[in-house]
Parts: sequence; C-alpha cells; structure tokens
Amino acid sequence: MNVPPSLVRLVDQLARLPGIGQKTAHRLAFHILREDPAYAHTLARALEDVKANIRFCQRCFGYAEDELCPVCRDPSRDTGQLCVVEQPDNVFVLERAGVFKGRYHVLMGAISPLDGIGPGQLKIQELENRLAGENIQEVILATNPSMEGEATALHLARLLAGRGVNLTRLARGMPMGGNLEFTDDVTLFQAFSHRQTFGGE
Amino acid sequence: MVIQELGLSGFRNYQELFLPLGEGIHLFLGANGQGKTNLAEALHLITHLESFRSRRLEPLIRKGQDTARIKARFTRQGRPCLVEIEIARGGKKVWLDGQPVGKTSEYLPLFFSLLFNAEHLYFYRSFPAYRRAFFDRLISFHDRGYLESLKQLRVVLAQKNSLLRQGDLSSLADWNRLFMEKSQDITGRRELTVSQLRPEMEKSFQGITGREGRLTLTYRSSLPADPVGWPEFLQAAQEKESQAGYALYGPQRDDYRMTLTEGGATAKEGEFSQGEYRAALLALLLGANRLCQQLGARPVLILDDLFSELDAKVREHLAARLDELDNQVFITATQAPDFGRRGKRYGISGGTCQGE
Repeated sequence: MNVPPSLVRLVDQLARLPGIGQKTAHRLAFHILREDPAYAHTLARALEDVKANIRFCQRCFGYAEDELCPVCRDPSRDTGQLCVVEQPDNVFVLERAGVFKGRYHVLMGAISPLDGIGPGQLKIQELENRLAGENIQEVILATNPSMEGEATALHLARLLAGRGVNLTRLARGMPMGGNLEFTDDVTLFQAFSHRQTFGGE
Repeated sequence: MVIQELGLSGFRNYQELFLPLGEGIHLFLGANGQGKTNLAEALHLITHLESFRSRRLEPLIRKGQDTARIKARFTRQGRPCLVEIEIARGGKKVWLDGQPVGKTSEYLPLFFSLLFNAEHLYFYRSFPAYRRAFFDRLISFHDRGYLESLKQLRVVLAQKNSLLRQGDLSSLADWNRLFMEKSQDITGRRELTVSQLRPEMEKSFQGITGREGRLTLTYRSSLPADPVGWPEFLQAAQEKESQAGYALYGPQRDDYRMTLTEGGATAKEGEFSQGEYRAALLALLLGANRLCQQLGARPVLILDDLFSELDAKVREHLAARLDELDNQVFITATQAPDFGRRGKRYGISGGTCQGE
C-alpha cells in the first residue's frame, strides 16, 4: 500500500482511540487533511494543553487546571451537599446535565477485590477529612449501579453512619421519556423493586 | 411453542430432511444407530442452542460437509417464528426471523423445551451443578428478575472469593451484605418453585408408576432457613471461609434432592433403582411442564429413548399420561404403544424419516 507516511501515522494514532476503528480513523484523518490548516493547529494545541494543564483537584479529585476545580472554586455552589462519584468523568456528566448544585468528591474507583482495589486504595480518608472540616449536611452516594458501586456505597454508608450527615443514594427506575415497551428487563426489574408510593395524601 | 416444520441439512447422519410437524405426539421409531437421537438433538438445539451430547461442533456436521443447518418454523403464543442455525467447525450462527441473534442470553429465555434422555439422566443424577442449572433455567424462563439476581450473585461471589484469597477483609461486610441480598432473592424463588413442583411430582410419579409411593423433592440450602440468621451465620463462618479462600455457603452450593417414601420406608435418591430414577425424573419433567402451563407456556417435550428400562405397566401408564397433555411431544423409541388420534408415527432408517 503506497500511502504517504504522515497520513498513515495520523490514522494509526486516531485508531488507538476508544470506539474508533480503522474506517472511522480514515474518515477523521481525511477530514482533518481537507480542513483549514488552522484547524489542525488548534486541534493539536488542544491535545497538548489537555495533557499539560489538567490535573486533579486538591479537594475533590475532579479534573482541574489549577489547585482547585471550577466547581470547588465556584462560590455559588451549595457547600452543604456532597455528591460522591467513582470517576472524574462522572463529574463531567453530572455537570453537563446541570442537575446538582452542590460539590463533588471523586473516589478514584470502586471497591473491586478482583482488580486489587480495596477501601484503602480509594479517596475515602480524604472524604472523611472533608466531612470533619467542611459543613456538610448531606452526602449523596452516586457510585455506579453495578455490584462494585453498590459495595462501595454500602461501605461508605457503614463508615459514615452516626456522623450526623444525611446519607442518600441515587434512585433506580424508569428512564424519563421512555416507553415501557422498549425498556430492558433489568431496568424494569429495578424499577419494580424500587417502586414508590404515589398520589393521595 | 409448537414446531410446525423442521429442516435439516448436513446435520449428523441427515443429508437433507424436511419434516412437516405440528401439534400432537410425534413418535420416531427405528432400530439403533438410524438417527433417532440425532433428530432429538436437533429439536433440542432449537431451544437450547447447544447439543446435549457434544460441546464440540465438529461431530454435529455430516462427514464431508462444511456446515450443518437447522431450520425450524414454529408458532409461539400463536405467532409464527423462524429460527435458522448454521453450524460450522469454527462456530455457529443463529437467525431469528431473518435477524442475526447477537447474544444467546437474549434468545434462550424466549423458548423452552424439556428433555429426557440418557445423558440428561446421567448428568442430573451425578452433578449438583447440573441440577442447579436445570432449575435455574426453569425458574428464569418465568422470572427474568431471577436471572438478573443470578448474574449479580456471580459477580458478588467472584469479588468475595477474590477478597477471601487476598486476606484484606475490610470490605467483606459490604460484599456479604450484597451476597445476602441476592441470595435471599434466589433461595426464596427456588423454595417457591420446589414447593409448587412437589405436589405435581408426587401425583405424576404415582400416575406413571401406578404405585402408592410418595416422591418428594427437597431444596437444600447451605444457608440457615431463616434469612434473619444469615448475618450472624456468615460472621461465624468468616474464619473458615478465609481459611478456605472462597465462599463456603450460599446458593452456589445449594442442591435439590428426591426421596421416595413407600410402605413406611424412605429411600434416598442414591438408593433408587434405575427404573425408579427414570420414573422420578419423568415426574420432575411433567411437574416442570405443569408449572410452565400454569404460566401460559407450552414447552416442547423431547423424550429420547423413552421406553427403555421401564417395565410394561409403567410404559402403559406413561403413555396414558402423555396422551392427556396438550404439549407438542417428540418421542424416540425402538417400539412404542399406540397414542390414538394424537399420535403420529414415523420410521427412521439410515438418516431418512418416513411418516407411517
């Protein structure tokens, strides 16, 4: 195959990205090639910047460019609510949805003995320190609804019981705008076992 | 479900076969080695997507051919369906109504058949894991939540075992709590199923054998009967479990056993004669069938080499019981009694099948 080496290099690098196969990598490479040179420059800068500038927030371990992440620095956030998530990416998702106005705490994983991760490997001590130092009334356990996320939530619930904070867990159930007909069995099962009293006074 | 048409191509000793089937009792009769069990195997493959005789695919493919094909048209709750299975040495592909089936786990809960044959009897009699798998499939056919709990238990168990091997027990209490939560779902559903099966099996056994003996199915859980006592029980077991390096108690160790009480004496499963065991297992299948019927499903019954090792009286009783069912039934035998209007007889000889 006689393809210019710089094009091959770009395709190979793009194909290493998750969810990108050879075909898509080709499409992306040709797209970049056809675009204005300024675009390629901006893209390259963005890639470099993200690696050079992003680090973990000193307080919540979310992604930050400075010592603290934008959420921790925002004075309008509710300091009484703390949402505990597994990964920094989870903060991104919740922020995009704009559903939560408090602050976060990233555990950097979930308890998973199969992966060698016990409570000691997670940012749990840091969470306890925050509870001691900040005026937090509610801790929302937003770990994933997987068995590992569930075990982590149970562990935190056990650890934080009796510390005067209100512990809550994200609800499980039907997706909004969904249709009963197209809802998968697992979700339906969860929605049924976590059904709530409705209507009346 | 009712299989309306079966087509085989290059499957075992069948070069090409097309069989119009439909409701009723289908009797495949012939001498040994003519292809009766091969036909039962193909029918069972349609609902289970694996052979009851061979884990390898190679033996399923007729010598000198690259692929074996099974094509079945059937009706399920009144709706016509088409299943096509292509078996090559490297793997098998399945299509449902022309669409490729990606995950076996999505296909299996749609269909159900109950199998009786020598291999099933041997495995059921010998291995607790096989018995658990039989009941798990039966229960999850009616209850997808059960299947989900089983999957979750498998994850929790793997994590708990890993924890016990590593020796860092700081999150053991959390895994145990999840373990108990899932176990309670599972053991509760198993107990319920066994309690529903018990009277049906007892009746069926008496009906088949014409004996007064009481066949009793028991579910044996390795955990205490009352879940209230589980936390304390697992706490007490912690040292033993961490020494072993894996979970010693729970649904993964449970078992199902039968006893036969007759004339004041109770025989354990291990003491059953070969004929008694065959009758007991048939009673279990008929009981499982009743359970499916109560929930509006009609599983296909596949009874391979049905009448061997049963005495004449039992054969006659059994035929009468099968005649009462409204399932589609497939029976292979060297010879069989007459089933009247519901029965259709076919002669099997050298990989061909002729209606009589």
